[in-house]
Amino acid sequence: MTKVFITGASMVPVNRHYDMSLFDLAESAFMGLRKTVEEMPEVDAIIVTNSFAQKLENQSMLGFKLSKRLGLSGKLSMTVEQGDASGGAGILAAYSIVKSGVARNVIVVGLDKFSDFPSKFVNDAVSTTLEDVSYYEGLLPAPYGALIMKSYMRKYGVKEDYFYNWAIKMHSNALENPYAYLRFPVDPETVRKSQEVSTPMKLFDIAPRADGASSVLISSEDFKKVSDSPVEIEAVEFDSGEPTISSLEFPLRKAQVRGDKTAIEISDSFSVSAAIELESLGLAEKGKSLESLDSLNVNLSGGLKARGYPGGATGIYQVAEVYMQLIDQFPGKKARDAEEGLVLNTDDLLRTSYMIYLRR
Amino acid sequence: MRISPPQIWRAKRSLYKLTASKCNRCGNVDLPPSNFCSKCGSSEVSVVTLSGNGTLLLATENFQQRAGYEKNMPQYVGLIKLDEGPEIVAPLTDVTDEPKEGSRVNAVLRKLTTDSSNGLIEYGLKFRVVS
Repeated sequence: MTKVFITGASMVPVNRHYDMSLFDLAESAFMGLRKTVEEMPEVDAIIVTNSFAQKLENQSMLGFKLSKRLGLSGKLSMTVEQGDASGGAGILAAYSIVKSGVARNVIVVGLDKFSDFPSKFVNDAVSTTLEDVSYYEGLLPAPYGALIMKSYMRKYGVKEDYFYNWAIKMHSNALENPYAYLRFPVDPETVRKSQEVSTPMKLFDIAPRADGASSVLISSEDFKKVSDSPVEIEAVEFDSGEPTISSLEFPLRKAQVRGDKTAIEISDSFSVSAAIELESLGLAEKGKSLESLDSLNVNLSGGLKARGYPGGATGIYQVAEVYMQLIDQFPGKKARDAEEGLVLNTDDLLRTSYMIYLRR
Repeated sequence: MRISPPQIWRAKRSLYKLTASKCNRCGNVDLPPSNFCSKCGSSEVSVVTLSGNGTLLLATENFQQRAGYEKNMPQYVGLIKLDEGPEIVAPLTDVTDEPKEGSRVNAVLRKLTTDSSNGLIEYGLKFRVVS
């Protein structure tokens, strides 16, 4: 079976794009990709990763519609949905069809839009990822995140200010990333004084959802010459299961990487998610991960917290960012000595996780 | 129209009483119930009605609004260990101050929301602190 490569990537800055529709965002991401890839090879398939357009934009069949709009009519097209882990799922789908020879060049477009409605409607849409009964009960993801945070505080004896480190670090990273949504620095005081969302979780413990579109080109070995600097997708791993909040058990695997030599993007839906992920991946000591962030090349984009949280597009942003890091073209903070890359894309409550290993 | 009577009616096993499925092979309890065990995949499962009694492990006071549920705000949400074993996240009711962890709770039927366009009312379970 062929090896699989990323041969191009582009992103639209995450923002409140009031003047752009879902399709405008996707076209803009694809235009960016066309500018990056000097000679676009024949594309065999387009995979769109999206989670909330049916509810928030009244649109389905995005795979088919985008194939038409991007000039790829008749090509294999589909939409992949797995909540905020849709991007990871789409990368796995693209990797698999290239690996198996079904397609040689696949465009993956991550796409989601949140700013057309006030937050209570967005919260309703993101609550559809909960079990049906929990949805009917009026629950939403934020209190789950708060309970996870409380459980973590209890288990490791840390206070709320332990989590401030994450927001501060992410905002400092995002300052240099032109694709980031929240490009301003924050200090402990800003985080401490921010609005309570679900006790003990504050506004700055939560990643802001915003509009985004990102695309990557995934090619077989025969087409890796499409890029001067192809990056191999070495493996895509998956895990899932129902978390146990009281004992902090989540379906996350240990990563087979060296923390200091790897460009890493993780899914920090909440500050506590970042802590749990870094510790489960084996990159930091349990209960202490957020105290030692400087030694890791983690979320140099600013992460979901400050680059922004574009739902089902998130995983594609993460892959594009790590790809750009590995070919030394990321326009923000650079990963030191990174030879390999790791993307961890999860849903917002860590029920499913995709791990994507990249190598220059 | 936001509330669909058939949808709510179908969910009655979970909205009006606590129904779970118990695996006859590995003993795992799934909530909401399923014909297949989420742990071992066995289809040999029995439907069980849980007592609705449990212990509050952790609680949070949630201020984030969700369309259709604004009237319940702010709302306490609990992490509850049910006496039969499963751990669930559920809304709490009749609480004004932060409830004590370790409190005993039980499930009670409450109004969840109403559909303003046609007057439909949706009922479901919340948990009340008993001691």
